[in-house]
Amino acid sequence: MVLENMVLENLVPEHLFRSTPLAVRTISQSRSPAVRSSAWIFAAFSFVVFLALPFGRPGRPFLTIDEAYRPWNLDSPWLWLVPAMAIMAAIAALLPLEPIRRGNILTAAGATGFLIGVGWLMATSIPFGMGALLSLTSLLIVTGYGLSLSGRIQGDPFIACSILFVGLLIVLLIIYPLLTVLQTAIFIDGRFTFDKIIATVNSPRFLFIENPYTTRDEVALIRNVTIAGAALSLAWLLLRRAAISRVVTGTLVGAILGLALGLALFARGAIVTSLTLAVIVATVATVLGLAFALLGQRTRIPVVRHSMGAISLLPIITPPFILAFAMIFLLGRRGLLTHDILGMSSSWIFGMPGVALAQILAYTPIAYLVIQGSVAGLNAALEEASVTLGASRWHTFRTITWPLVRPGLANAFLLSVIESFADFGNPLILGGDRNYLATEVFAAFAARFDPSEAAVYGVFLLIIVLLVFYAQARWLGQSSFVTVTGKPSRGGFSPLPRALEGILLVGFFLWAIAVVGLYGSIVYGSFVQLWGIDSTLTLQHWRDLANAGIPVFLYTARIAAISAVPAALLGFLIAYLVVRQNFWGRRFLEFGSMLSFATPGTVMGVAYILAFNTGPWLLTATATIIVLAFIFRNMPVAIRGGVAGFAQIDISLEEAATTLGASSSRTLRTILVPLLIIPLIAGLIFAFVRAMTAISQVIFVVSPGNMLTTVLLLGWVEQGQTGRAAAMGTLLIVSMLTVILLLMLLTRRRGLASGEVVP
Amino acid sequence: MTPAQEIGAAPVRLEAVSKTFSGDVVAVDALDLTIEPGSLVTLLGPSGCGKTTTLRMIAGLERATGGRILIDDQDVTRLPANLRDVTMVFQSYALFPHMNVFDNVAYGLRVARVSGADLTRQVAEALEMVGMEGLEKRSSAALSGGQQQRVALARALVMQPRALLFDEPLSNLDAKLRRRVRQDIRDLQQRLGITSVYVTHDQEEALAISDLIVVMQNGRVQQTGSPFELYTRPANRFVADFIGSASFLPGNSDGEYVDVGGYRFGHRQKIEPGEVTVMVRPEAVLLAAEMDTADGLAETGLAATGLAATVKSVSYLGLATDVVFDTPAGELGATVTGEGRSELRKGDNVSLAFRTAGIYLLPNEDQGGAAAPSQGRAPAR
Amino acid sequence: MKRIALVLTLFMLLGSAAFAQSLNVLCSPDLAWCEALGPAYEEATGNELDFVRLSSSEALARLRAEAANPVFDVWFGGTGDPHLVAFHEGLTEFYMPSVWDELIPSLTNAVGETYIPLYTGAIGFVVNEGILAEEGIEVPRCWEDLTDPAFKNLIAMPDPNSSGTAYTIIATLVQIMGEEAAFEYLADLHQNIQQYTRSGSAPGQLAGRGDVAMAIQFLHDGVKFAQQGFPLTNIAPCEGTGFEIGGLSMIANSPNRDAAIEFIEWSLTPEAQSLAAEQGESYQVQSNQNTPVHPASPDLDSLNLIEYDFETFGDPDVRDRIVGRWTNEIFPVPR
Repeated sequence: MVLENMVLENLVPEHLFRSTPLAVRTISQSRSPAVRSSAWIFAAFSFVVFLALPFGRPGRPFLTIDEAYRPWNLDSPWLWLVPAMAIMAAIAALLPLEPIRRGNILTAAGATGFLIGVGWLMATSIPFGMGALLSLTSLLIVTGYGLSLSGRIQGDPFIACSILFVGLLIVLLIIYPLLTVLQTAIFIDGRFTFDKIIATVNSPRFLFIENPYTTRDEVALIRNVTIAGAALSLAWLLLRRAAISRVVTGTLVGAILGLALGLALFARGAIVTSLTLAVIVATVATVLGLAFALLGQRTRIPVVRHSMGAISLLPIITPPFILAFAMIFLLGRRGLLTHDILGMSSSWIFGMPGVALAQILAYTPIAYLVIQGSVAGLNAALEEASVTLGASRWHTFRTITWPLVRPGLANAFLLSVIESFADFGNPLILGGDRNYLATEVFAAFAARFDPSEAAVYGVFLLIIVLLVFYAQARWLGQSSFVTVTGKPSRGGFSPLPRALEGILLVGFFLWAIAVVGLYGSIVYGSFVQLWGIDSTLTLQHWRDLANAGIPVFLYTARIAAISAVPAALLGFLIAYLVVRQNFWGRRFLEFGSMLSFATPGTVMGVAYILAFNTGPWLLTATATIIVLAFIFRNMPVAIRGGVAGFAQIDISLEEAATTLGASSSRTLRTILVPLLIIPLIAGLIFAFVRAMTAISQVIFVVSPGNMLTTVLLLGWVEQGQTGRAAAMGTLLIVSMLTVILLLMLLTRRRGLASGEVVP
Repeated sequence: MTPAQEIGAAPVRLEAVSKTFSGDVVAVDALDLTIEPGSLVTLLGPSGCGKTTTLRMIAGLERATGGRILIDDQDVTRLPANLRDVTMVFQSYALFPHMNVFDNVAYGLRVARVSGADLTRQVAEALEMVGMEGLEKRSSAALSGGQQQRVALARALVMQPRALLFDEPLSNLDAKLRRRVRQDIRDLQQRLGITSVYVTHDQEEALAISDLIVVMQNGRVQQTGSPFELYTRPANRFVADFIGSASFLPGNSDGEYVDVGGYRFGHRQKIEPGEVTVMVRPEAVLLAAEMDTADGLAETGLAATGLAATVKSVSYLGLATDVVFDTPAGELGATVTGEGRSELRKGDNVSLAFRTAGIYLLPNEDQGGAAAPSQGRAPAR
Repeated sequence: MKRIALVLTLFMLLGSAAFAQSLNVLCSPDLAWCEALGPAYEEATGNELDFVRLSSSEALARLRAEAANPVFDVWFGGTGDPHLVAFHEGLTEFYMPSVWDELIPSLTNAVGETYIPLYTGAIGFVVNEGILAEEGIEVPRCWEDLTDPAFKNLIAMPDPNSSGTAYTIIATLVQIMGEEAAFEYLADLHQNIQQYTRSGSAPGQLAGRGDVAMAIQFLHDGVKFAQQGFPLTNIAPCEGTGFEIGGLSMIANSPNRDAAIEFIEWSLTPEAQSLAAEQGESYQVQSNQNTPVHPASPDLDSLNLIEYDFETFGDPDVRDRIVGRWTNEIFPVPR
């Protein structure tokens, strides 16, 4: 400081020494770089914790203090490098060093200590103890300080530490479990082999073509359909006089489509069933989604227009298999609708048709939400222009509206494909005699106890879903990860052609009746003695629920709430890092978060149980693993909210705060969080609701004392405790609906206010 | 405490500062610049010339990929922005929309742990300086653009930074307001003696406000100088074209006289004999008819003939008339203010002469290989 | 920064604190019975228990998965075969309860010192006569009746991959007919099966609701559904039928060995065993001779029970082979 002032005096010209209204100068001192770095606190903490708490633990409980796992009882000289590095970092932080050199020492010491600690845990396979957790975490913070000071990461220590933490969490809780799945699939008894993959692919559960119980020859049929596909497209292209290269590729595509059709028609097995189902469901859901989006925007009936918002909420608040459960009672062999009203006696509902119907009911709202974004972005003026040019409504629709909504449709289709593919609950209840990839993962693991087979199925499922994601990203740019939203354009839309509107309305009403009927029957089922058999009204099921269900419900709510906070904050932080910061490995961070979003729940579930059941990261059968599973499952929702939110905020606001001396954590706290409080709360609530209704991942990780509502509910459904299951379903639906409605109320009230302030 | 401490004016020095984006896009190329304490330096150039990147590197919002940045003789190249003691006024004002005027101005002070009466007083003084006293409780969103920019200025000033940075602060204001606010900024800056760096693409604004202008193009400094220097002695055709407007005619110099399309006049400029480019400011062009009465006329050579020209177009602007002439040396733009202008018609043949003050010889860029050719550029406004 | 570290630490502590140590029971019988255990056990001993309900095959899979770090202390109920497998694989250890001599001798003799018999029950048909009448089919009396194409899509049975009940059914058929004939029979039966359920008792529920006409499963589960109000009748096949010995095992290296022993001793008392029928909707014949037989329970003496070879069919290799053969030869065939 003294030096600075001397230089100033010499350099400032005389004429500048005029009086100034700002008399007291107190700011400059506090904003200059510190003589020592506060990293010493963390280094010292790491050291103290290393000595005070056991580094490992004998079993699952974290908080056990077992003398045998004290560092000095572990008899491992390497381990002492961890506190040595902590001391070194503390000294470097306290000495008056030049920032870059200090940064380099902190980085080296922190990273070395951290890696040695982690390496030691991995080498010994001793589950990490509180000492290891806190001491290594602190060393990571020290490393973050170092990277920031040395300038290797542009940004203050908060940013550097955040990047390291988020990166570590993604590696440990997303990448590592998935790699474990891969490893389990190809390393069997410690030997690298493709045997399991080959055995699984050859197994009739995976693919089954020639059926000895039929007189027809399935292989020949499939071959014929393939040839027919190729021939048809060849003929078509020749008639169109297409170029020779197009004829070749076109014929090939025709053959592939023919093969796919042939397999879908005549073959069985999980891969065929899942793919066929996904295509059917996605097609129907997309068509219905488009119909609803068009109706919502331009029907002549206001009630229909206004009920669209409610529809889009349904899949969020309902556990995926609840509708399937209700469908049995409405549409089963003795179903109210099928038997009592229509007089049918058919079990069509068990098998692909039933699963398809349940999935269509569940995913149409998702498709609607996606398509609604692109329909809202349509330009009414364009259509009016077309109409004034004399085009008919049909023509306008075909030439103007259709091309504009096509990207939204593709997006909705691919999203539905992924959802259908990853769905676990519906096939489990309605699957009937067919196999599905998602349930095979579960069956292979939980019933056949063949982790390798489960892993192989998981790898297949993951690869297909990632391929679809990749296709989506290639086709539609990067809009896949960020929700598709269009700004609703002003102007009156031309109403739909009467005939079209009529058809759409019929579809909508059928759908609405189905949904109301299904939800209504769940409520009804909870108040009658024996659903479908004995219709005496009773409160018995609610009393049973109070005894057996409410404690689990409350426990689940607690776990969901605990996990929602870090899920929302972490998602927000990742969005901030990805959108606003530039650093090495940013794409990795994006990829990791995308992976947690894309990975089907059953695959993640099996990954968690494989990765965290033994060894240094032993976590199974604890509440922690459920919380972690929820956090990384639901974080992407918050990321998307955050990304959309940040896109609306002028980056100069943050830069202004920065130049005014605010650290990035302070900028986040005082500028970004207040401005983005609504998306943040929305992320929080969606993370909570999704955690409450999730099943596919957590069914693998529940344990005694850590039972969750959905898993219990699934058990009740399977065990035939229908009344109780209906009561629990009702409770879940009503409570989640309440939570979401509260959020909407909050958004609407604050939305007006924040609409004024957000530039 | 000496007054120097209170003012906080500090020199800012850039030594061979470079910025390369994503591999190979060079935004700023080995820039050297010294900003004297208390002076206002403008970085001027077309968009994409690297001026904003340079400013952001001084602020610490971008990290330099090469060279050093010194503020107050302290190397801040790798110092995070929030520790640099440098504040910035943004093009979009960047007022925090969820805070009122007082909280906006107080933001930085609170970060620096100023509180209580000190805080209130300093905020009040800052607002008074920019003429916004009494509006403390107003929501920042409820202010007009000019008011918002004043609050943004107060917010930056109240920190008494070592340097104050302006990133095109006036471009969102309308033309009249722009003149007023820019004069206020200049007055305040001179009164407080704060070292300031100002980025703009508007040459008029730059000329009006600066102690020193740095003209940049393609990440390189084309010329550094006072407004007068830049206007009268541009280093190259790009600078000449960007600062004010000018026509460029090919000429031939023998070291004492220069010949342009048969018009021969003397010059005192030191330049290699041979082909040159003659920059002619529009106000330097005179009709031969006015020669007798005009001052500061270029000294003609032996044959005192003017430049033969044909009128190509005439636009009457009131105070002056813009005329484009066809001459043997090429097209020439002129601003004519004299009597004879009312009689000019398209197709008239006239004889022209130049005033020395508006003439400058540039080495021929085709041969001299100047750093930045500026072919195809539209004349500056 | 410091605050963030603090929050992180708190969060980690919170996560771990939510994990409490108590007796963990892996419970394979009917959910209602599992749920009744906790309160009664607490009342009798003052100790608490947590349970997870998994079918016996899933329970075995879970125990295998967690062999390195057992979570559970006791495995309560479920078909005996998986208990035997678990014992042979070292997943469970035999504990000789003090009441061993009070248990039904035929059961203790059949299992030897491998696991503790908890209850017994026989396989049979659980029939919804209303549906059969509607379809114009006679009530089946024998195994052979079920391959009649008239039953197409009208029969449900559990999946041996996930249910010990299903394995008992297949093992019974193999013992009655011989393996090859049994698999031919199963293939024919497969054409009439509407679905294979994950749990052993679910087929009766389907039959009760009318989604199928009849279920193959344990008769005591049929009793349960009938007691709940479903229109179901129990039928014992004329060719004879197999039965199960429900097992009770202590997990090897259990985290709470003493608590496990206390629980096992308690659960074999007549008072504890009476819970099954009184509160647990489970009508098996309990293993303790002093436990009164519930009036609704199937009368095992009147059934044509086969000499079930627990030793052979409890062998993991035999089991894996039979289940594997069924999985690959029968299950995937389209119907």
